[in-house]
Order: sequence, then structure tokens, then C-alpha cells
Amino acid sequence: MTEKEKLMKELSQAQFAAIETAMFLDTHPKDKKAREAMKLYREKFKNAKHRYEEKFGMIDIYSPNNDENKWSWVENPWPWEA
Amino acid sequence: MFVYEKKLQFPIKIKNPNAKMAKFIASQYGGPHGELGASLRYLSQRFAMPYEELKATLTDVGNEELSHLEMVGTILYQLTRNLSEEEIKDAGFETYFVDHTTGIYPQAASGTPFSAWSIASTGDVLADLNEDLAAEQKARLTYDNILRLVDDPDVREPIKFLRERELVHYQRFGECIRLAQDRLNCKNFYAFNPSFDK
Repeated sequence: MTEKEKLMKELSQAQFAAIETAMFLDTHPKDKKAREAMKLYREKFKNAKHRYEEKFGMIDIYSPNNDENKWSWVENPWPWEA
Repeated sequence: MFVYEKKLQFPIKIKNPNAKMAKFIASQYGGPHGELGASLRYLSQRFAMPYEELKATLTDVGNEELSHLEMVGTILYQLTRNLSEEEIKDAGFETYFVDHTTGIYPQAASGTPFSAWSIASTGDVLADLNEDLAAEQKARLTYDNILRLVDDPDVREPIKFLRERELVHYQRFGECIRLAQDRLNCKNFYAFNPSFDK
């Protein structure tokens, strides 16, 4: 696995945990344990996203554009092109 | 509103193209139990939902289905990359190829284009939620059938992930039905529409 793939995996794992927990919270909005877990996953996701963006580029259009000469959002590969 | 994230929900990297597989996996893109219908169903139904937990669930599940649509599209794209004319003919892919080349088009495995007839949005809480439970099971069984027909692990892994998500969504919709029924008046014994028939 390349470093990019490793970081993407870490990001996706944290994001998956957050998505799953958020969906559980939708039907159990008062569940304290799940709300606590959500805090942890959100932090893990934010942290991994930040590190990914610094090294490998934009995740969404609000990510920092690290290329001084162009809008790097357009750069290949797109997600379906692995 | 929606914001695009330049990533897949689950990684997909298919080494060997296989047009034969693409022919039937296409059904989960635009077929009767596919991800396009799933996302439209939930994202449309939520406007008429009276309860906050249910609006949240339909929004988040509908949103996740769009990520699944992208995953199925990715599988189809990678399965039909760099095909030779010979491979297209041998796989019986020419009936798709003649209209779409290797572009991704929402249709059932049988070739029928995507139809909104495959979804319902009734404005009735219990009718919609029962539709949603059935829809998750129909998507799950389609993935089960795909897994019966596919041996390439590069394809099986993302399909197994998608199948598992149907189970979780089914569980959440089951909880939604309970939440809705808990709020019905005790005189509303036959569970008619609480948002319209007051």
C-alpha cells in the first residue's frame, strides 16, 4: 500500500465510523455513549483529512489549494480512476 | 445542499476488466433495486416526513446511497476499461456497447432504462417506511445474487460492503417505524397517515 492509500484508508475508516454513528444517532438522538463516540470519530476524521490534504491534495472544494499556479481540484486521478 | 468529496466510500481497484460482469452489476446502478432509485426514494420522501428523527434518517441514508451509486458506477467503469472488440463480442456486451460505448448509463441488467416506477414516495409515513424496508431487502438480495455470480475478489469486496450497508439501513428504518408508531394516537389503531388525517 502506498502512503497515499494508507492515509486514505485512515481517513475513510474514521469517516465510516462517523457516518455509521451519526445514522445510529438519528434514531437514538439521546444515546450518550454514541454521542461521545461521535466526538472521537469527528476528531479522527478532521485530523486525517487535514494530513491527507497537506500531502495529496483536495478532498472537497473547501480544502486548501496547495498549487500556486492553478486550481488543483481538477487534477487526476478522480475517485473512479484508481 | 450537497458537497462533493473527491473520494470513494470504500476503495475500488479492479485489475481485470470483465464486460460480462458489468452487464449484470449495471442493475445496481439503474435497475429496479439499484442505488439511483434508492437515493431518489429517500431524498424525495423526506419532504413529507413529520418527525425529526425520520427526516434525519432519510437525509443521511439517501445521501449515503449517492455514494453507493458512485461506487457501482466506478465498478462498471473499471470492469469495462480497455476492452477489445473481441472481448466485447465474446461477453455479449455489444447490445449495451452499440448505444453507450463504455459510458455509464442507468439501466437494469435486462436493458430497461431506469424508471421512477421502481420507487414510491406516497406522503404517508407508514407506507413510505414499509416501502423503504422492502427496498433495502431487495437491494440486499440483488447483491446476494451478484455475489453468487462473481468470483473476482476485487469486485466482491466492494459488493460485500454495499450488501452490508443494506442491512444497517434496514435496521435504521425498522427503528423509524417504531418511532412513528409510538407517536400514533391510541385511537389510530389501524395506523392511518398521522401527518394528513389529523
